[in-house]
Amino acid sequence: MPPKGPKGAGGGGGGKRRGKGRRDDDEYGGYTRKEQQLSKPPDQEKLTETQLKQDVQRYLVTLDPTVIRDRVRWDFNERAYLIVPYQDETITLFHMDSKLVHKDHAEEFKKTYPYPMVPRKQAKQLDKQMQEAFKKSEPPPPPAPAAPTAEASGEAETEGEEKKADAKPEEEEEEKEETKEVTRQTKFLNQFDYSDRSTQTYNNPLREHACQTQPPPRSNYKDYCNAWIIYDAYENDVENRPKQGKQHGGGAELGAIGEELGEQVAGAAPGEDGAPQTPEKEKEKKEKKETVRKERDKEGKIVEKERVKMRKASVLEGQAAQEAALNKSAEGLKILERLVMQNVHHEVLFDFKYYEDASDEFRETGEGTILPLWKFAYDRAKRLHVTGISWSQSEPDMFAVSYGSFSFTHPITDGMVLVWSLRNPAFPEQIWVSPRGCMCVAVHPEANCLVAVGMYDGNVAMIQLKPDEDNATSSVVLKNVHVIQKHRSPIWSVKWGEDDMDGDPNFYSCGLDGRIIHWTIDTSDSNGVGGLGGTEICILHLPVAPVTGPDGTSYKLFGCARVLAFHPKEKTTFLVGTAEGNIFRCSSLYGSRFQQIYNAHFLPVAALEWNYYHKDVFISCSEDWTIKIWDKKDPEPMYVFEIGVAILDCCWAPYSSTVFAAVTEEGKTLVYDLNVNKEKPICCQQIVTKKKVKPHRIQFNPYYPILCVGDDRGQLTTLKLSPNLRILPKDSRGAPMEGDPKVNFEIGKMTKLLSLVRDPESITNPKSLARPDEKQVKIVLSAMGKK
Amino acid sequence: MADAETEAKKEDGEGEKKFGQYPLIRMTDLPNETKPEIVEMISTTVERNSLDLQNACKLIKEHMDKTYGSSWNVIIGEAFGFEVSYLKRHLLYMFTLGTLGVLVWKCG
Repeated sequence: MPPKGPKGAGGGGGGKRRGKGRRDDDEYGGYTRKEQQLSKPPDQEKLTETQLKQDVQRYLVTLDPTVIRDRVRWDFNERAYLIVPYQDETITLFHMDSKLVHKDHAEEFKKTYPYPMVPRKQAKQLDKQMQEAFKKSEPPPPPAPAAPTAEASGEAETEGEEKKADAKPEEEEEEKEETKEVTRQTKFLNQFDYSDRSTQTYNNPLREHACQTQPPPRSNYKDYCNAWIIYDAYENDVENRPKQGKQHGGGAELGAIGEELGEQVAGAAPGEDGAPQTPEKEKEKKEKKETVRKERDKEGKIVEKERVKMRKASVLEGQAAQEAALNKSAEGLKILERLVMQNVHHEVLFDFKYYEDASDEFRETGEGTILPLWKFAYDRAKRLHVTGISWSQSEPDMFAVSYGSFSFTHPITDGMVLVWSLRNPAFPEQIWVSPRGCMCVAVHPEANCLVAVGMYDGNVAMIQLKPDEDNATSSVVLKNVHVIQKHRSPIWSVKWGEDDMDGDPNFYSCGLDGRIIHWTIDTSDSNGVGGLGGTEICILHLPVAPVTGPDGTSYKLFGCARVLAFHPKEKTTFLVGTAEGNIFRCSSLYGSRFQQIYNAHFLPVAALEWNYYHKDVFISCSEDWTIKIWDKKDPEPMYVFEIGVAILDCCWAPYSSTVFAAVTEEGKTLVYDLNVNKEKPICCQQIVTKKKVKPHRIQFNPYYPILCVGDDRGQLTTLKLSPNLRILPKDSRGAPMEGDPKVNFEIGKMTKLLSLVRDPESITNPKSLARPDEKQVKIVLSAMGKK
Repeated sequence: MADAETEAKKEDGEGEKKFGQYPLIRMTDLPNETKPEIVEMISTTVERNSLDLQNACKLIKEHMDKTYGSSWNVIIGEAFGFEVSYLKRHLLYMFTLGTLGVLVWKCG
């Protein structure tokens, strides 16, 4: 409340009343101060006394409330509104560097301080001196006394002069001490202006890692060293050295022949090399058997073998060399075995090479005979059936045979694939045992080391017959892995297709589940176990209406594929024979849409094969006692042969377009030549003697006039065809035709035969059934029992 | 015995006066490229130091260590038996000078 007049509080209340300027008489004699009285506006808030006495605090801040802090500006680079940062709008009016130094660092600071620091009193004195000097125009006194006093800290200025006297002797001492010390050139910086800051980058933690390689291989050796051992060793060495010279000379000759014979492991040079040497070898038979051991002239192995033979194994050139010798002797032993076989079977070899049945000339009907040659049997395969035979196209003496079981009621679960060579009928060249029965086998036409196998449980495998570096197991097997891809039932046939664009081999398989799957090498298999990937290219749908199942769903019936036959020229066309007796002609390009369906037989088709020469002709045989020859354009067969016995296999001869052979359930082999006799076979012979043994497979050798028949006792019989059976076309000069003229001739032969069967018009109307020519020509033969 | 020896030598026509002077390998595992050099080196060293076989051993061992890697072992003697573990392709057991046997192997 404003001070009141001496009138007192009482006057306060009536301030209003008195505020009119009324003079009152008082002590001061009428000269009173004007009472200051408040004049409140009428709309002022009315507060109580306590409220009025409350202190209200007010703050003054430097913030300018009118300043806009979140100003934004369009930025053309960012194409957005960016906040313009707020800048303080302050103006520096005065700036002065501080001379204050932290007292701890004062002394160090003084060293770097460029200006001498003097106490005040002395400073005044110095000033006076300077001024006097200036007046007298004398050079100013040197600032010598300033040096020791430069040590005086800034404290001296701020503190009192009392301490100066104390400080000085100390400073001088310090100075002396400091001069004695090595002067450090550290520039000291004011703590208030500067501060040290250091950082360190993150150090990666250290980690230990240790690795140890495999130690190099070691072995043990123990022996003695004695006077007599040394003596004996020298004696023996002296003895043997003259003989070594002779051995080397003799070995070289024989080594050459040995090397000729010992070629590849899986297939050797053509048989022509083996046979002509037989007569020579007969003379030197005994000699050869002894010397054949020494014929390998490789790295002094002869020497070692000699030593081994003649002396005890006390003088050896190292265990490693011995092992190498054993490995090399494996080759030699192989050659030895073959030679022995040759000697044992030399009559058979003669027959194979040279024997021609002379009586064929006298047979008017053009019949011939087949002469049994070797029999191949492996003791572990005795109880298995021969399920497939495949000759190698490039090695004329090599063939692969798969063993399994055809008896589905008493299945034999295991099987094997053996690779035989004609040179060694006693033991197969390669053995591959499979845990499940093998149903079919196919040797790749070009790379004869690849063999495809189809198995009873629907799996396939591809075996490579090359020996690896260790000469250990000689087969690398690729199998299919995926459960989805494999067949769900036994595979009846595998056939190689043409190498695809990458040059990888691929093959097709058909199984009882009606699918045809195309297999290639699949390198994307992560396990490394498999290696074959398959794509289904065809499902054989039967041309009947879908059948309704028990719960109302309808199934499309599909045929159970039994045989697969690829066309030799057109690589994408193939035939599939089914267990229902149909033959489908399909293309691998078109999937499940067939080009043609032939209702061929009433019982399962046992064999199918395209003719090697005529591109439209194929043969099929079945258990319904018939063999039929077809032209692919015609749904009806051209030739039908009713044998009267179930036919188990048939195949075309590779040297002629009109010759084919078949085996019957009774154990007979039939050979037909359509050019000679369209009705009867030109040869019918009982191959397997026992009635219980059934021949299952027959295959022609592509090079020699040999047939190979496999039966269900695990035995293979090779048979030679007599000359009448293999009449080769001769050209004008009388020499057998080769190459293109032969091919054309063969095709011509077959075409002529076909044209006999039908007239040309029927080609345009294949569906017409009533063809008088066909009825005329369809030949029905009597049972084979007559022969 | 001596007659037989001399006769045998005359037949050989090698002109040796003493028995078995040349080095004869009894058992070795060395690679063929280095074998003759090693045999040659050992036989010359032993011939040179035939009186101080310990020194010969030392020279052989040091030479082998330098040339073919560390930790070779050398035994030269007239009568001893042994059983050693050796690194494969690093063993040589030979006779020389008619009466001495030299065993050289590397291990470790």
